[in-house]
Amino acid sequence: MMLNSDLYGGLIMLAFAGMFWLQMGDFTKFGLMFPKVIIALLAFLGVVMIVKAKVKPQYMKPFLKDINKYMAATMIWSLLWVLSASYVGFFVASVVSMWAIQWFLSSERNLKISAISLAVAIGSVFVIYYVFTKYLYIFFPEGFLF
Amino acid sequence: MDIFLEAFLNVLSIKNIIAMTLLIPLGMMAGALPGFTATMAVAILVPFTFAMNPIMGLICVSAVYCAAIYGGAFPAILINTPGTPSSIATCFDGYPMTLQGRAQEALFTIAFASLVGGFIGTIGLIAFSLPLAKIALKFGPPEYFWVSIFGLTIIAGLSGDSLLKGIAGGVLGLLISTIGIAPVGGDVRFTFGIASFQGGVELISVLIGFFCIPEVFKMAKDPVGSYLKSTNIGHEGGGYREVIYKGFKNAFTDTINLVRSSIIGLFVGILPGAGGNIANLIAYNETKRASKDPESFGKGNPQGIVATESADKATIMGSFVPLLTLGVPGSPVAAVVYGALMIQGLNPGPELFTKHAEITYTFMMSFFVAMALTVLIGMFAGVLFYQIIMRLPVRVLVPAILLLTIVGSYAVRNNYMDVIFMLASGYLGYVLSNLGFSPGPVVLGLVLGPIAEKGLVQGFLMGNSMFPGTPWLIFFTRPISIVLIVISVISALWPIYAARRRRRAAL
Amino acid sequence: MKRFMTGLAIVLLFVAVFGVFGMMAEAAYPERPITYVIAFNPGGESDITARAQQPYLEKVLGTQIIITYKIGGGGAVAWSEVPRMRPDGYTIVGHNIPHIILQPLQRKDTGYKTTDLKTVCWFQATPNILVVPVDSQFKTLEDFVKYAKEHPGQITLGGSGSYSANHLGTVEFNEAAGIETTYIPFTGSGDAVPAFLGGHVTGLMTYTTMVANYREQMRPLAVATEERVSIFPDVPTFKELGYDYVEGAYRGICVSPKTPDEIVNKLADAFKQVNETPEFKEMMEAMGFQMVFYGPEESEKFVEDRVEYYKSILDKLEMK
Repeated sequence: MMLNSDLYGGLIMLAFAGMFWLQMGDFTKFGLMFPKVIIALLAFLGVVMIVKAKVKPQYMKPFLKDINKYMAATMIWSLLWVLSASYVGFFVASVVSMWAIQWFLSSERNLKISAISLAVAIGSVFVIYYVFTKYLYIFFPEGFLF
Repeated sequence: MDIFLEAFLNVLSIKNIIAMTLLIPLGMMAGALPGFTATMAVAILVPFTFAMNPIMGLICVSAVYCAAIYGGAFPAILINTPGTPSSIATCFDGYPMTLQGRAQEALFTIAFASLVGGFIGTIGLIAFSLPLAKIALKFGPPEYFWVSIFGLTIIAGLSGDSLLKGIAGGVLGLLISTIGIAPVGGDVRFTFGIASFQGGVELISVLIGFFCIPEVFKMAKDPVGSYLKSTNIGHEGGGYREVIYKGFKNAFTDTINLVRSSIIGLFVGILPGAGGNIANLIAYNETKRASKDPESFGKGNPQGIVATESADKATIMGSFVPLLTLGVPGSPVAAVVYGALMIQGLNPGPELFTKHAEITYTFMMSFFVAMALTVLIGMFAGVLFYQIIMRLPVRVLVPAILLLTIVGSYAVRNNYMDVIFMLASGYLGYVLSNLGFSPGPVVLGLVLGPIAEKGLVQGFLMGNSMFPGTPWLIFFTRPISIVLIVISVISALWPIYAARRRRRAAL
Repeated sequence: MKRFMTGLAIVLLFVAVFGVFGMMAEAAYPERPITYVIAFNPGGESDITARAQQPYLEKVLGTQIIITYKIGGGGAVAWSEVPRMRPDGYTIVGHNIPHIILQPLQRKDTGYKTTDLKTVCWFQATPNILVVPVDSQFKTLEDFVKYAKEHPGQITLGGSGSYSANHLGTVEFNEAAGIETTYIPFTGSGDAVPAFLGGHVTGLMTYTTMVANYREQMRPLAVATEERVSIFPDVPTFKELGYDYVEGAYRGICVSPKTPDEIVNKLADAFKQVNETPEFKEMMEAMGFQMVFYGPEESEKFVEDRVEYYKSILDKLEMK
């Protein structure tokens, strides 16, 4: 089963055009002038792509089947990492996530590896945290801890 | 002539050389960190320069600026992530070179290309500042609109297999760029109810998302072993001398490319509001277009990175032309320097060449010295970066890069929304790249969107006052606009011409 | 299990260490560095001011001042975070009139209300000033108004942003003089300068600071203040010339709304002292800034007055 890339591409473009279309409010003439044209253009291109999908489609490898457990773990953990950082704080979220991702990607899982992983996680997050807050004055989101 | 010599000797004082040598590695690190831009590096440096004399302060600025732009190429080549927006197109050929085991060759190639870009940029800054600035002033809103349209015509060169998908991607980028405050009218648009979105979408976080995140996911797919499997050194037996020679040859085989790209960089840099982010894409496209073998681009053709890295170095000097000659800060870094000059009691503008000629010429000269030192240090730094990335096992590299992407996209504006948006564009970029959309056109649209919109609406307002009733006339009646229209049309039709030329050649 | 215990121990250690720091901080204000958030680009007026204030503030307050940036939405991104900030006075945010008044009035999802920002003080003003190029045919405001009356809509004036002091100022001046000019907004006051120097706009409705920088290229016609500005003694005010038009932007700092009064007063005093330092005053005035001072209580009243005033102007704008 090959993937009809024009069909899905076209649908994604239409989805974006629709999303922005629905967000259009009572803007001034000047604020509307440019996005209006762009939304119409994107919708038109989306339609063209869907037509092309029927006439002369470009097939691609079905990439979703390509995702193995390592990739899936990385994709999901990075999401958890980003979302949790604003609640539990950047430091904690990053240490935990870095540790977890290393754990998932390790071929052998034993105490030694996980200890090294934890050390790597704490070490690298700490260095970044320290340099950024102390010298570059960039303060990361704090959570209920710090 | 005396003043130039004096300025040059000023730069070469031991104190200044030491200061530069110490600052360049820091600037390079900042540039190499995706999300940490040259502007931020210079902004952090500036308060320290208040304690110095103006000459030394400015020399430090030029060192950090050159180093940061240079450092931006490292992650572009090694992990397919532009460290600064000036290295976007460096990914296109730099990363394939890395995948072919030619990372070190690429790193040395950019060193020589940068040196030439910096040299041509400095000459342009010293010799042609005033006339160039006068040309730049002729560009009003309608011209900026056409510049952005010309910029969009290079989509074809960035599209990959499908031109249709390239155009759609470009338009998607334009649309995303309209999130936030309307440049004219002040409407808050497409914020989806999120207050942080009033600030619009940060180019850098989308850049990181589109380029880096899909690559990290792919990397994670095969976590055993190291990520860069083969290297130049050892495999070909030549050692560093061999690789350095290759880099040198890459940079100088096509001198026309080097000079053309540097001039593109210089001129784009001079235009207030346009900078390295646009220059490197245009230079890349023009090089591809001029090449006899455009198919080889995107597959590890060293001329691609020669073009981008010489162009973005020349923009550095170009961006100071309007500041020094007219007192107009034409780029974010120039704006920071503008502030610094004010506090130092130097009035940016023509006065700089009369009252403070010594300071000004020393500053101009310092770019070349800074660039030479940057290249020298950059060669070692590049190898070091390469070694680090090569030695790290993938299971460590993946979370480490993710950490840097999060830190980087947050650091740009101290805005956590940018991090969420970065990851979201990462997922989107992953899906789109697997559907045959290249990230290049999307990013191009994002860069050019604000320029196009501002030019369009401001031009419309101007037109309304000039030709009441038929405001659009203004876009077609000004001489420079007409030139730009012609160039855009030629550029847009070029792929058709090129296809025909290829077909004829094939016969 | 062992692993878990180790992890727990480390986390607890961090909690303990940071907890102690946290408690120490509450002893006496200011005990640790203060973060001064700038809502606009580095190199702009707000940034230049903050950088100039920094060393003096550090001396007066006896602590480090850290300048950081939170840019976007014409300042709104930074200000939308103020209500959620810790009310401890260790984060102060630069804010502006009319921005903090007009944005909540004009936008839907601003993320803050004018009253959410507790003003510590207003310490500086940049009045509007009308300028044309030095080689322009307009020598005086009279020439300008005369031409505008004969050619309605043909004069274009550039300025910083939509719904800014420059924008509303142009509307007010149009009204006061009975003329019609086209206002073209640029992103920031510096962004309008190339268009001005290149002759793409007739003139600028800009801030006094711009004229201080570009004295040789700009011919100021009139300034929108009650009395003449000290660094341009030759430039008449609009009022002198018979147009009832006074407008400009004010800069100040605000803190989280629940911040205790002692802290607010201490900060206000510090900024006042800085303003009164002769060296500092001289430097700022040379750059075209006007030194004013409204303390915490005066500021509240001042903001209320301005809100009413801008509401009336917005109504006029809507009618068009």
